[in-house]
Amino acid sequence: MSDDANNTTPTEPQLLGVLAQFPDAHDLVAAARKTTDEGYRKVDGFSPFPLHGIDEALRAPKTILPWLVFCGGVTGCLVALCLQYYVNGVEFPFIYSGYQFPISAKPIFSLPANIPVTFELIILFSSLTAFFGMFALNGLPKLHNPLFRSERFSRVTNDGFFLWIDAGDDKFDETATSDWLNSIGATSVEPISEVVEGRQVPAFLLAVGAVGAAVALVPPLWVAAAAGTSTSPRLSLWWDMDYQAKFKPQTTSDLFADGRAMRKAPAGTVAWGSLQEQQDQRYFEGIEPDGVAAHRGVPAQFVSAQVEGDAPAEAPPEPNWTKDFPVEVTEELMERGRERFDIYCATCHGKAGYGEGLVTTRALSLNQGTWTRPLSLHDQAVREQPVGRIYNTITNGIRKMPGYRLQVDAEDRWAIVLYVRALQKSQHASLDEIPEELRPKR
Amino acid sequence: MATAATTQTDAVPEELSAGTTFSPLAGPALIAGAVLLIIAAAIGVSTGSAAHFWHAYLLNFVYVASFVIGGLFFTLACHLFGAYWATSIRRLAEIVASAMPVIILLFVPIAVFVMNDDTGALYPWSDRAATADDPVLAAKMDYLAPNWFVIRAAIIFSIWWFASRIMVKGSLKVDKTGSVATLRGLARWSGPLMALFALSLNVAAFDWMMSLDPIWFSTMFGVYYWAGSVMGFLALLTLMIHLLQSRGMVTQSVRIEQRHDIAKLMFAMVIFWGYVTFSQFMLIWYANVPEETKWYADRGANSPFGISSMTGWLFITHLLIPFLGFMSKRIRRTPGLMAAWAAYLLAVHWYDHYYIVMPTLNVTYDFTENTPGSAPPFVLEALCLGGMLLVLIGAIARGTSRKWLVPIKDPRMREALTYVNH
Repeated sequence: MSDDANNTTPTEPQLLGVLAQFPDAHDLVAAARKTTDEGYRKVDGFSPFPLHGIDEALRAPKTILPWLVFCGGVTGCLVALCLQYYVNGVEFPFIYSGYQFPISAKPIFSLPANIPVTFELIILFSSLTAFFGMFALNGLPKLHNPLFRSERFSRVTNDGFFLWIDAGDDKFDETATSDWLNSIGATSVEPISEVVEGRQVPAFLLAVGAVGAAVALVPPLWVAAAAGTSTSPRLSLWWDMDYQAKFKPQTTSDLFADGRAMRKAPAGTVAWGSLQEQQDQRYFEGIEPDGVAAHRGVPAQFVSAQVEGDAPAEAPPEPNWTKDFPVEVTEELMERGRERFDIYCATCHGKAGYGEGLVTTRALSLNQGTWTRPLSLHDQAVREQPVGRIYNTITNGIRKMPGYRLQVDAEDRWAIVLYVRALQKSQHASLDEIPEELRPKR
Repeated sequence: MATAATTQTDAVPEELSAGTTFSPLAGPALIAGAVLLIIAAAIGVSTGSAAHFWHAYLLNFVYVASFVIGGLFFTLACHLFGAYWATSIRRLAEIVASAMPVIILLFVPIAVFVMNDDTGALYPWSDRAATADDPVLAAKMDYLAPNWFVIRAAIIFSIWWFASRIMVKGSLKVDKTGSVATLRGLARWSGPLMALFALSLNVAAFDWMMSLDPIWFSTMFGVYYWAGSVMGFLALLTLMIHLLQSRGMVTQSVRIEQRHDIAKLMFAMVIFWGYVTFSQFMLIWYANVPEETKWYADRGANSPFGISSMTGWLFITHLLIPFLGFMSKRIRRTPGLMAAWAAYLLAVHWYDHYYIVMPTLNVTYDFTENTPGSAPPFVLEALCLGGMLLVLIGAIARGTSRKWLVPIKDPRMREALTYVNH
């Protein structure tokens, strides 16, 4: 050792501790016990297999890992609860806010719904803490350990049993400690010094690393640029996803002889869910099956094709409307019809069917020129319509009235027809049609 | 067995013998228990609270039965897994499991009552006339027939009694012979018996507890009862070991390592119970299907956080408190503290059953006039609890008579006496 600190060469090895070898496992445990009894505290043991009692003999401090795991679990619990509370229970009018989105009519923040995620995060945080905490407490990852420089130490994975006393121990003194280890039966004792030799990393590798790091910055920068708020066309990262080779609807194409991109359905094709409608024409369309079948289902594209010709297309013949109900007529069905009528029809047609619904009244009072006043259901013309025609009007609409096939299902449309008939009857029945007992008493 | 082992009694050292200490308690405890149950029945009938009495009786029956079921499960599991650590405590589980005949006796009043009851006082479905009109119940009536209920119970008890007989007899045989072949036989039996046990336990839980509210159903219910039962048994086992060791018995054979393992297993069952119970709750809570939600509505799950309700308290007392309470290894290795936690778990285990059984008493179905009588609150429950517990203690004390408290010649004892937890 130099007496002047300034003259200490950087290659002077620093003593880390002494390594002692023992003949077998029992000797190692006994030596460890003696050493800790003697007052050494920074002691460690190495053996090819786990030894019972070595922890007690080394007076190894109890690991704090369980406490770390506990804290990890508590953190996971809090993170999960706060996160869920924030994203589902809080809504602010600024960016990165949560949604107040009620699910299954539950409260916005309801604990039972949040338990599974909380449970998972407790486990995730606990296990990650256990895994990485174990690494950290063991001092891993460690690329090299000075002990590996000892030739003798390579036997530790085979039949070597070693005791290590760290130079940082308060009682440590190289000579005295070595003598002590020899006195308790060590077969060999050697000092281990810090490694100070070795080669520098070649300069060209550093250059390669710098270039690599710079290149690695390109993708995130690209993403940042693509995700900005610029008004210029955005950068496309994946051209083939943004611009796919495909035909859009209603466009032309050279691929097919008729020049259309869209294909016509082959003859006899039935669309999903419409098989029933094809079969029961009376029920679903209000037309007798033996009626004018050609009228049915003229698709728009054929109508336009006809218009292209010189002669204007003839008005399609009046279908053979069905004249009686394809459903069982009951008091119940009529009540259902009244309910549906009041919901869907009465706003325009009025509850009594005279075309004086609230919407109509309001539109007329505002002098809305575009408003077509609905026909009174009590007009001679409407009264003489077969039920199939009224059904068709409800289904597909007429003039400005939209069709109601999507809002009201077929059964209910027939119910409404039945109720319309009842309404008409109520205004135009003759006295002898009223049962005796219901007539007013004179 | 009792006569054959007479000569052996002298050979049992004090450290392992419990017979002389505890078996004299058996007779008085059984009699006192029966007397308490009769008093409870008398009070119930005289105050017009038969329904209340039967609920209290059933509540404590399933509570006490759960320990015996847990003991049988533990015995089967020891052989199934070849668990050497548990060898020295297996005999205690066998003693609990061999109380099965007493449990069967305790069930007889329920069976007799259900066969003859047409008021729906305990099980609403036993009121056949009134339930026939309910379309949901009508579909279940073939299953929930009184005769069929009793037949199922008979099958369930046959399986359990058979399983406990096989296991206990085989184990006692090994005490004399030390035969590995016998142990192998028990291991072979334990697999099929475990499967039968699992099936029968599900049916038992469905029949005895779930059908109290015959509209409600949950396929998790059997697992829920099982998880609670095993936890309850382990708590009882902890207390039994504590009591024995405080009298200087099994001090060498049951070491701190075994007690630590029992505590670990008990901890696992606390969590598993919570997991299953919560899973059952959350699915029903989320789907909000009326006939399923009703069960929880009856148990006061209406408050948004569920904390002011019975369900909320069950989660807190049965899961959260013990979970945090004996999570630490130091507590698990401190016998006194673990005995206290075991006593606590036995109490919340009772509350768990109270939670399952009693609320149906106050549910008035449209089809019955099933109203509680005027018996003062908790008197019938307390009398039945005392009676049943005394009967169980009597049966266990009787089971200790003239037996080694550890399977002394089991070849795995050596490992059980030397292994160390890390």
